[in-house]
Amino acid sequence: MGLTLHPMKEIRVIVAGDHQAFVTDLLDRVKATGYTIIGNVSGKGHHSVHEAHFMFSEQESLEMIMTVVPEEKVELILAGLRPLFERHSGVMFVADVAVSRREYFGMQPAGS
Amino acid sequence: MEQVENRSDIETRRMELRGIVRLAGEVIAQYWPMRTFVHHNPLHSLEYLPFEDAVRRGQQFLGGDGYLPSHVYRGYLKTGRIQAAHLDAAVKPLVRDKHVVIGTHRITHGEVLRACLAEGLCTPIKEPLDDQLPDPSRNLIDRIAANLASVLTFPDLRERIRAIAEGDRAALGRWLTLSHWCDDTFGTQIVRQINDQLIKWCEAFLDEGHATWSMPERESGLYGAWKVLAAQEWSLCGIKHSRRKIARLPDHPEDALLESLDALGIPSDLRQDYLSLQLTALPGWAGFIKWREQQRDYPWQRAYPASLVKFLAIRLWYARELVHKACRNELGIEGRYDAVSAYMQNHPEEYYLRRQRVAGRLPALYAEEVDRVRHQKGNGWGAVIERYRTEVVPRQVVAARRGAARRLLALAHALEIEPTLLTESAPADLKQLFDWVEAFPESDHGPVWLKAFEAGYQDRLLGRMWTPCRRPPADEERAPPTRPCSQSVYCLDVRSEPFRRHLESIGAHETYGFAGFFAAFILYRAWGKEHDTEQFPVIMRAKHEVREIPRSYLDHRVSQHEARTKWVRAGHTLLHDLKENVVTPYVMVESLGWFYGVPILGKTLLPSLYRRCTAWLRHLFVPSLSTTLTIDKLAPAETAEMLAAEQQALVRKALQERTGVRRSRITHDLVEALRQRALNGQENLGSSLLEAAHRAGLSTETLNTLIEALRRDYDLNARSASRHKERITRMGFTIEEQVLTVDTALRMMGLTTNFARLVLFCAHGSTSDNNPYESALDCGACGGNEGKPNARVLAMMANNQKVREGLLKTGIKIPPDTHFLAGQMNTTTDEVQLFDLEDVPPTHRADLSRLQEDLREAAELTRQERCARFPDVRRALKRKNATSHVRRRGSDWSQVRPEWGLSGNAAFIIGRRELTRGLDLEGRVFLHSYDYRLDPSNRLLEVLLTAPQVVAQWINMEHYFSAVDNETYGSGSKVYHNVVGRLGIMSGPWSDLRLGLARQTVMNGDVPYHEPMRLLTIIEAPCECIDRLIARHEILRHFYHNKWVHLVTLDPEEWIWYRYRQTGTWSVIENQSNRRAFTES
Repeated sequence: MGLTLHPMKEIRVIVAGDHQAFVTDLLDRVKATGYTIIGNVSGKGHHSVHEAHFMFSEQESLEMIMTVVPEEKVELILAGLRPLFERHSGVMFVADVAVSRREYFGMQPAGS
Repeated sequence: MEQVENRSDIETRRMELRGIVRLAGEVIAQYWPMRTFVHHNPLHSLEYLPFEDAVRRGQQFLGGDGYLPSHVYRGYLKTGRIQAAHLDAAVKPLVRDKHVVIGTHRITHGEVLRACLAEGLCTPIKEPLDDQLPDPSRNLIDRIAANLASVLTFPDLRERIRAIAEGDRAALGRWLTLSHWCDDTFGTQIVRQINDQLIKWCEAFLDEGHATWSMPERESGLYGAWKVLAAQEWSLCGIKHSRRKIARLPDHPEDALLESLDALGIPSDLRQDYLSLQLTALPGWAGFIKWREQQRDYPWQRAYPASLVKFLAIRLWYARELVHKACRNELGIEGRYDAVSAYMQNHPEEYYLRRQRVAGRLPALYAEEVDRVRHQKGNGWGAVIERYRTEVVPRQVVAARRGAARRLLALAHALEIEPTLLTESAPADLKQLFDWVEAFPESDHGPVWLKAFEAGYQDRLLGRMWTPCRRPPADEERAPPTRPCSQSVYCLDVRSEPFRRHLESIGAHETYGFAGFFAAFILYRAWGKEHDTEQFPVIMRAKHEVREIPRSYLDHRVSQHEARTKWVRAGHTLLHDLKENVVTPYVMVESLGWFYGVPILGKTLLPSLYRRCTAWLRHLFVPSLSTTLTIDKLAPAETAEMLAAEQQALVRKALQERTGVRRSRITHDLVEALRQRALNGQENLGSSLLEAAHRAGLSTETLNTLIEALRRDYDLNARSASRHKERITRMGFTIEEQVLTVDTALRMMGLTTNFARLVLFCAHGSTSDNNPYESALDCGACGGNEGKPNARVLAMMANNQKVREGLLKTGIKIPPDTHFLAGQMNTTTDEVQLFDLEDVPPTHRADLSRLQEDLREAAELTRQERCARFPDVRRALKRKNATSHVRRRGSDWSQVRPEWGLSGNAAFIIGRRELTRGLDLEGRVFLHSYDYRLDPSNRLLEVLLTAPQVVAQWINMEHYFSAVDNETYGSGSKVYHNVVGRLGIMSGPWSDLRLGLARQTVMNGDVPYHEPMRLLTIIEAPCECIDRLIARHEILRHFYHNKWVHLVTLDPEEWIWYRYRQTGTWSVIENQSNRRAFTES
């Protein structure tokens, strides 16, 4: 039996640690099946270079939150995050991915 | 299809609204519950603005002053705390190069401004319209007024009305809510009514076990519970058909909020600001909900969810109903933004009269007229305004002229000019003087005074630090270091400074300052407690878990200890339940009342003795155990054992609760078999299990249901077992993590060579009685808890042989005869208690006893010094008296001020101890040890500036705002405080949750004890390093460019002092002989 892959969308959000709770709360409300957080990342943005240190405060740390959701949820998530990015720095991008266990990621099987 | 699209559209709107509410909520500060009081900047979210703008915005949103009243500053000027030279320097940027000639005097702009400040000439003019009282200077004033008549114009009434209406239309929705507008225009009490309702609901919902009779329906969340209960209230605030209206509200709070915003007609670009305004009406409760919303693991939040969206949904429902009612009743218009705006545009005169009437600015006759026309709802407005124009306005003009004349007279007195000269001068000159005074209103004086105030302190501090003998010798000239008797590390808290100074004066002791959590980010569970405490600054996150366990040789005492503790707890619960029950107090008062007399008499008349007796009794009944901490990671076998023990406890609990089998019948085999089955059995029940169950009297059916229940309700299955195992493995630190922690800590303080035989890590805590603020006196770096666990953790890590081997590799060599100790200083009594003394090797006995003796003596000296600062201690106390005095303060339940705490804090010094050794800094400076030579990449300095400095700035700003406006930013007098819901305090029975510090903490009677100044950070490091760090962190740019924190650097190589300017450049500070250079320009 071959492995069928189903297309889904992956959303990645990189924000200051301060806002992590808001983003994960939003994902919960949208009923995303789960998310992964990579903490204390370093990087460079419009304003500055950022290097991580384990003793940095929450405000100064940078986190990446990734989640895989069916396409219909993408707009909801974008709508919820748009006000945040109007004032605060951070990035968010949407990519196409494929998964094999689509029910696990919240997509209804075809025909319902 | 249509329905699906609508549904996703609604969902999108909901999500967007949540985003908007989050941003709107940034204007209020989070409020941590009082158990872990956190000092924070009330205007934290406005730090992206310059300090003066933020303070002004704070006044608009919250109504709080940002500076002390001018008369207080003038008092400081008189006593010399503010020096005239500094005041001149602070005013200089405002001075224009102009002058006016009156008679033979040449008056410059600068002199006028100076006089305004020093003599308080700019208070608003309050000239009565008809003056009946005799006034000796009346003649003079009339003549000056006549002189001014030609030049002083008074704006036309119509112009004024138009300007006011335009201004309010622009402010509506931005600075002014519709509810406030109604209150200002109609004299209703809408805002107070809404606040009362919200306070009632918040207080009931957010209660954390304080109430004997708790609110029902809380599981549905704040909005759901309100919807159910409010629908049953009768005539809510006078809103008709409230029951029907509430029942019709949607189930989702977001939908209800959107509905209310649409009903009020708030345009979408103003919604965020409008919601901010709604939140700032009750910043205490809203701040607490904001905090709770973010704590998803908080048990109360999980059980009874609350969020800002729910809060706003409720609030805006009340607002819309009450505003609709008021507008319809008074004006017959809809209570909508556009309708109100149109009203102001079309009926500006009517609006003006109504406003003036409500504000009390109309003469009595006119006020009555306005009331009459209001009730009649007629068209009499035109007539009233005409009469006003012809009769009142001319009198206003005359009064304004006389007021101006009076002001010029006062100015003449201040500048020592003969007053009659004013009557002869050219009107244009008089007008110029008057304009200069008008252009510098009282509200602009604050920043100038503040600069002068700060300059005085900074001048003094830098002058004392900058004496040539302070410069440490170059490394070549340095004598080989001698080994000190001991080294001790204290929290950078300002209260450590006097103790450090005294300890250094007694013997060859070196002291260091470090953040009180000692680089250990731990979630700590004390022995016998059920909750973890977060022992690190609130702006950071937990990384490791550590538990306190009894020492292994005490195993036999543990069960006795546990049993006794259970008895004590049962006794407490029994007494509490007896008190709170409806019927039992009637009986209890007669039978046990006399027993309660003992504590009352004891605590009131003999507080220290009472405390000692109760402590002794407690020790007798439940003697304390020696404990140790689980710092190392558990071996896999130990992990499995701990997991098995936890699961067995669960099985026992389930057996007792679900089946009622007697304790004696529950055998170990049964428990173990059940556990195995729940975890991994799929096939039929094993024979051993059936046998054991049979012996205990359980049927096969009960067995099966029990196993199902274990899996489902008690969470005993394979998946959750692996999760629990993972959690247990998170306990403790690996050796590499321990090496990293100790290495970072030692490098950050600059203690990497020349270790003494004893190194003490001294945390701090405090004791007080009946003090809801006791957590504010504990260690802020440890999240508002005492720092004992952190000190113990770091000491144990540093004593570990394997860690020391790891440290060798990173370049720190700790001599084998160095032992690390942990201790805690009680900041109320200055006693230092040492821990884990069983671990001290016998070779160090002499060193230990010498250290303890020196610590005791340092404590006595510190107490004497501190007692001199209490206002109720008039004479200097002898050592013994000082000791008993502070002990009594700490146990007295009527004492509103057990210690001054952090009041008086003013500066933060990051550098070597040589800079400040021996200087009496009066316990006002945060000291963090730092050696720039050990930090070539500046990473450690980066951490220092972005973490401890932030905490120090929060503390500083909290004290600043609580001192300048205690009613708005502080929490008022402690005398009126009532603890509510176990999480905060209210003033009186019914108020917003109070934020900030109490009056007694920062004020000494009416005079501020804490001198409100912005933090001065002094760093011993080269300027280029700091420039790089500022470029990398936005928060540092906010601090230094927006003038929330002053920055001064000492270049250690050149020994030159620099001040950082807002423009991002450095300017050299001249030698103290040229004092002016210390101030800002």
